Amino acid sequence: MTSAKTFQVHIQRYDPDREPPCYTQMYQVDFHPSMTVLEVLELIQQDQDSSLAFRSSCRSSKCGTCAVLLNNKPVLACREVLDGGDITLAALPKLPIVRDLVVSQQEREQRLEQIAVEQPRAVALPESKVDYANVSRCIECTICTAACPVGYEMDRMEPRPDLLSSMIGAGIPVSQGEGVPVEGNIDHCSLCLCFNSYSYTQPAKDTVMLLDRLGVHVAVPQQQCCGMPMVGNGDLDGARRRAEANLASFLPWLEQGYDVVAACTTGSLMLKEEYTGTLGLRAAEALASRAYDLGEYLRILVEDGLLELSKLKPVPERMSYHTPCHLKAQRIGKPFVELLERIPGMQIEVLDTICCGLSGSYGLKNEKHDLSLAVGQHLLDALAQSQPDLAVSECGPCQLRMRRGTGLPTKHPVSILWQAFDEDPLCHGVQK
Amino acid sequence: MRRYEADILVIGTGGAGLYAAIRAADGGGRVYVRDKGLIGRGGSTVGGAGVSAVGPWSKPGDNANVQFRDTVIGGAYLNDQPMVRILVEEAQQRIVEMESWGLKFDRGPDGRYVLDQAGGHSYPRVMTISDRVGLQMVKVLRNQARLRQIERCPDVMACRLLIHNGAIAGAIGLDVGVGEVVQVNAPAVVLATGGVGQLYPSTSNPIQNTGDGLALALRAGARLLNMEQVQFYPCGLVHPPSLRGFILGIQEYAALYNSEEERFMARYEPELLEHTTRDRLARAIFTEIVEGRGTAHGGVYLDATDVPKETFLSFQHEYEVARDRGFDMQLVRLEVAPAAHYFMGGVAIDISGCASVPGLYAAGEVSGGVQGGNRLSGNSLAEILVFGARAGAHAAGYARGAIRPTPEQAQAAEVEREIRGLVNRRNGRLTPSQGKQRLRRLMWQYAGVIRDGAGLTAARYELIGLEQELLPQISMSGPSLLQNHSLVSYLELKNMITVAQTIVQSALERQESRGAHYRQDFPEEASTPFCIEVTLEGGHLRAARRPPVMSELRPGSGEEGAE
Repeated sequence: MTSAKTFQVHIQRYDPDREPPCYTQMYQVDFHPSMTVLEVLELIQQDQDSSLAFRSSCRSSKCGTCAVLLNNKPVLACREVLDGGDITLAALPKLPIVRDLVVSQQEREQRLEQIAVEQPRAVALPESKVDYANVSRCIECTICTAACPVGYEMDRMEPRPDLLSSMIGAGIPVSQGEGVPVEGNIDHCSLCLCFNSYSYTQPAKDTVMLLDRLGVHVAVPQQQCCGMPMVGNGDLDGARRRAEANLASFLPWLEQGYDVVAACTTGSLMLKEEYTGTLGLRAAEALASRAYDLGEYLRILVEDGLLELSKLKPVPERMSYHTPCHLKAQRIGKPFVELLERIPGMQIEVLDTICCGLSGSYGLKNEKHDLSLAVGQHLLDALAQSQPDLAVSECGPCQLRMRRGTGLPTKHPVSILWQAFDEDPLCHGVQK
Repeated sequence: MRRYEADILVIGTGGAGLYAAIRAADGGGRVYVRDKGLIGRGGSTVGGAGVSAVGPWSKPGDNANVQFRDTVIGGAYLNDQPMVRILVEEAQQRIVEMESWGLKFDRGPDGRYVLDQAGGHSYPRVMTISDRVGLQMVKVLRNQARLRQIERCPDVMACRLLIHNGAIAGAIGLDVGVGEVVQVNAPAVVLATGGVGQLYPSTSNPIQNTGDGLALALRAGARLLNMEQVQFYPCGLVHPPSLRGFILGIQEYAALYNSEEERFMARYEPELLEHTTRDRLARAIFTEIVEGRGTAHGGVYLDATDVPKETFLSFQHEYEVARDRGFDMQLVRLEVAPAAHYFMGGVAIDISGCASVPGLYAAGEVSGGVQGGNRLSGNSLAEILVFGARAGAHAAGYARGAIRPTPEQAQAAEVEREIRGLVNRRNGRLTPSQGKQRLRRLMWQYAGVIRDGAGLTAARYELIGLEQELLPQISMSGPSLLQNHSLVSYLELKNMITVAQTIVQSALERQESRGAHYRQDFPEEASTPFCIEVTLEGGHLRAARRPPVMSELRPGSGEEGAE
């Protein structure tokens, strides 16, 4: 035996001709400092097992083809340096596996072709917001989509992160003038978190439209992910970096007297409690004291007489409402239900449900999927019992679970409110 | 076996292949695009850092004539001059077109293009997008291919070009994406498979650059041009292993030492030291290594620890990449050796990209003629745009007029039998990767930076040995063809041996030192430049000389001495 230090490499392999097709194989590899994941794969293929399949090309972090899961984290194999500890390697999630670590990019390529051909409707980003110098660094390794809990379903709805940067980098023109209005200067400011910015943008747009019509001036400062996915997965430093960036961006607006509103209950909870609590950011106290959940904020506007709900007409659909856990955690009741119930004739039933099962990014993980479905089954059963026309919740992931589980259309309650408000002729031109 | 009908088949999807596909589609043909890896991801284009072009933006005094002269003098008069003329005249049209498709070159505060100075160019004329113009090019070209809904399929390795009545009739490929042998019937085929860097142990090229297109073309009867012209970048890392072949631009500012702590360039170039030309630097480093003054990992030391900090700002990517692996070049010396970088030889083509077999086209690094004996910085990205477009357009025109060939059933069946016979050969002693290592060691020793007749003759016999004795010892998994990378790797090795034989044959025939080719036994340049063409005749390689096409500039007629 040589004196070289060896370590174990567990590779989750896949062979469609084998029974069972998924299996884990262990290889013993000699370690040397500066060793990368790709080097390990090449050495195994060269000296131990030439049947191992994986992709790579440039070996210098430019082609973006060698991404794999290292200990459950998506990495670029040619760039990831190992420390000599045992490792587990698997194929990148969310794309169909062909063999071993090779995933198919066909579906992604088809989606990009569809976007290229139908380009005007594909992207709704104002050109001024596109940072070409930055986006053009994208090598389309799709690690962002693999890592992003929100990216799970985006490819079927709206462009997911990797597709967006691919399109912009490829020179597909972004729309002029579409997207969310961004200026304003009186007494309010809205934080539309990533789910609403990238995945299901309608609630963000409806929020801005409604607030704007009620005479509230809205600004959308530059912002990042609120950090909850990192908190949920134990990366407190990563969460803190995002929180600090958001703080830096929002503080000038707070100083000008703006409140901060989030249209997502996860975001509002994060701003109110987690920045100061879990992350221990003293500087976030000012932000926490001025942060509102959107429903809570609208309830105040109604109390102030800005919006007369009794005059609005109901929407025709029968709705079932699911309460997000992150709303319960805020202990502010169910403000949207209160508001919608005050519109005469509105048919809204509040379901007696607990967690939808997704629980942040938990249920978005491949290995947790089955358990997550089991946890959320009661919600799907409740919807099957009620048979509404529409399933309603403030939370994007809750909506996702309801829509995927039942096939029902889903909406954020602000969209219902905006629809009721916008369709009422009396309300047109009231404030604006 | 699946069969497809197309007008134009494009093999390879770096910049040249994608541009050819786009032009062929615009020409009205039904285009099929196939790549061994992912579409538009695997070629060398992705790593390209600059594109050279003259245009209305050029500096005063610079124009197409100056770039022409630079390119021909740099290429040691081996260039095909009508092709160089087209390169320097048409690059600007492609630049403008690429910008209309969404490419955004770097511009200064005045709105004008940023133009970089590069070796061998008389004026600054290399256009960039930070350090990633190649990456942006393939993104834009991929998108244009999508817009035209060109049929593109990854994971297909071309195994043989089909010939019917002396003309191209399509190709047989191994589609590991679905696990089948496939046949594409097409009267026109464009080869855009890139260079040969993987024939050497240290290379800056992507792993797919195994010379497949050259082997395919040779076996189909095409002529290969100046196969001995392999450009070595003087300073590529040899350690750590994960960065083997990673080339270092900081070399221009650093000092080189051998294992005896001697700044050896003082012996070779007492005045210029490391500031001599790249080929001389490469030869000096190579000599130190083979004469036993190399480092533990087979290189020499590159010492950049005295280079001012601000100089590193221009080499941020390479500095960071090395530092992240534990090699901070501001603190430690690195081990470097020449790395195979670019291949000037290739399939002989005319100004339309036509090879010597009717219906066969080639573009980019797989083709020969444009760059002569040495390629200037930025000229390769210009070449893929200009000649990719030309090959695609001409192939579409040819396909329109061509008689649809009768599908060649017999050849297809033979390839399928051969492939099915190969897989599941589990009792071999070596893996395909180990076989490749053998070939690379041999090429480095005999057909690398410095060559001589005796070594090349030895290489010729050893290559026959590899072909006849090593190949049958390679083991492969199977029987499934689905993502069977051992089979792909074996087929690559077979191509690599074939291409290595043409390089050695051509290098033996060139009994002089010219361009990137250096013969210790013939260290001088011959008085009259000549090209070498290699063909396969009756199973034997044949090398023949012919004069280069010097339609404008002859040695001695221009202001030489740019080197």
